Amino acid sequence: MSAPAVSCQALGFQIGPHAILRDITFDLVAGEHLAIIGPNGAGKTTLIRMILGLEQPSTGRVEVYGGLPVKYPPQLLSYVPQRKYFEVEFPARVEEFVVSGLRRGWPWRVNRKERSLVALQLEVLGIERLQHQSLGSLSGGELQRVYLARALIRKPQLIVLDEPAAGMDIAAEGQLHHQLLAYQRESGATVVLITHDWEGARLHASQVLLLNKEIVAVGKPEFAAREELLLEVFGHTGHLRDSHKGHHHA
Amino acid sequence: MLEVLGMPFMQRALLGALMVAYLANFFGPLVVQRRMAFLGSGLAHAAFGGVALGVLLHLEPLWTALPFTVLVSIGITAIQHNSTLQSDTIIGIFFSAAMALGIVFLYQSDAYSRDAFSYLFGSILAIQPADLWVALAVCVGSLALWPFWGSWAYATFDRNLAVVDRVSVRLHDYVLQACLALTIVVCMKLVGIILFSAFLVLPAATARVFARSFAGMTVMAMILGFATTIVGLLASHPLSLPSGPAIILLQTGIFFLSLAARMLIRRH
Repeated sequence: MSAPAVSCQALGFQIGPHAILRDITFDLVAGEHLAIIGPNGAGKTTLIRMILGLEQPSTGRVEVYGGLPVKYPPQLLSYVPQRKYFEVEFPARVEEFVVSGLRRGWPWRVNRKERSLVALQLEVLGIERLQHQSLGSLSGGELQRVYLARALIRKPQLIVLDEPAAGMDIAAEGQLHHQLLAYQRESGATVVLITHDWEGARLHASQVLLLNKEIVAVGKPEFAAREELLLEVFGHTGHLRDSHKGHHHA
Repeated sequence: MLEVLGMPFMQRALLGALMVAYLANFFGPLVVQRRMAFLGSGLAHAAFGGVALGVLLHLEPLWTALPFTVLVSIGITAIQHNSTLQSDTIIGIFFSAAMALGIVFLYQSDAYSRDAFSYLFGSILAIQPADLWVALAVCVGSLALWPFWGSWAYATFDRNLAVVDRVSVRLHDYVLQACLALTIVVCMKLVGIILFSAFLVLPAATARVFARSFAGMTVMAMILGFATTIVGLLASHPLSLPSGPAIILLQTGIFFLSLAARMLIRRH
């Protein structure tokens, strides 16, 4: 049997005396779509940072396709961060940024072959009109999709996304999920995605990990994202759209 | 105006300043985008400690200032990586300590301290042939840094993405800052701290106003550096202005004009 795409065994992360994550144990089979949900401060971002090899676990072990995350070939891994750290004033065109996903470095100039690959990828996502635009001029939703284009252009086996739909309206969010699922169907890639949208997770994910510093539940969405568990973790089972409006959010 | 180019000291000034413009603007866009403008000035002042050590030991100051400043840059980078202190605080600490150490070295030395201060402030019109050879060697050596540009620019854009892509960001930080330290020491001997700091920041900041790509910003900064060197140097002579400040004021004027132009373009 082949190694799981992601395997966490008794994983823990601590900063000083504060436990950020405790005893995280789960295996994710290759080709699955895992949605990680949990309240703010649940350790979701820390967990994916350990999967990406950006943080070292304090205890336990994490493996990606049977090896340490830092040993996994970076060209087979894509990451879409939650916070876009780049400065708006950084002079970059969409095309150059997407090419950085192919080269794993910043391009001095984009060659013809790369240009056509970028055009193709942007077309798949319906944003070909953005190819020559400045990155700093994009709206939040456009930027998220450009990040997705950058993630997909290298044809990864594992895609890790930290709240990719943040800042998007409902229609754009649905479209992003469909594009992600389409890529997954076509490539058989594994997706690990953090989301606040448990309704979306029920709809799109094949596995849900409900996290609150430790695993509350992990499994099929109908099991791990069932109402009584959400009530336990979030204190309510209100619709996400409402929580975004600030009515019920913890 | 061009007849001044017949004078050997002017030829040396032009050649020296053009080489400084190239070196400074290789690093300038990286420094400006990483918000490290203070690092250039801080390292240049820290180099004073190394110059004074040379005076104390009766050695050529260049050969003591080079390792001293590279060590300071490594110290700054190490603390940046291993503490939560802001970069400007760390640079400020090293800068003050190295300057103080320099004064202590000069105090201990029986040599005339003016040598150290003249080294620190440089003079573009007093460039010697030997200085040009050293600068040329650094320019040629810096060609070896171009293959790193893609990784440096990538980490400048977003460190996290670069780390996920297994770019050795920390190692690159050490290499970048040590190379910058080395360049600063050589350039400040030629043109002084103030002019070098201007070359490092002003053309890159001006280029950022208009550039649409990071490579474009680098090329534009270099062209601006070359153009302001030639115009500033040639115009300073008939206008009876000191050459270094003339170049800086020209660069500053272009920067503000560029900002104003962009504001006008955005309004219309």
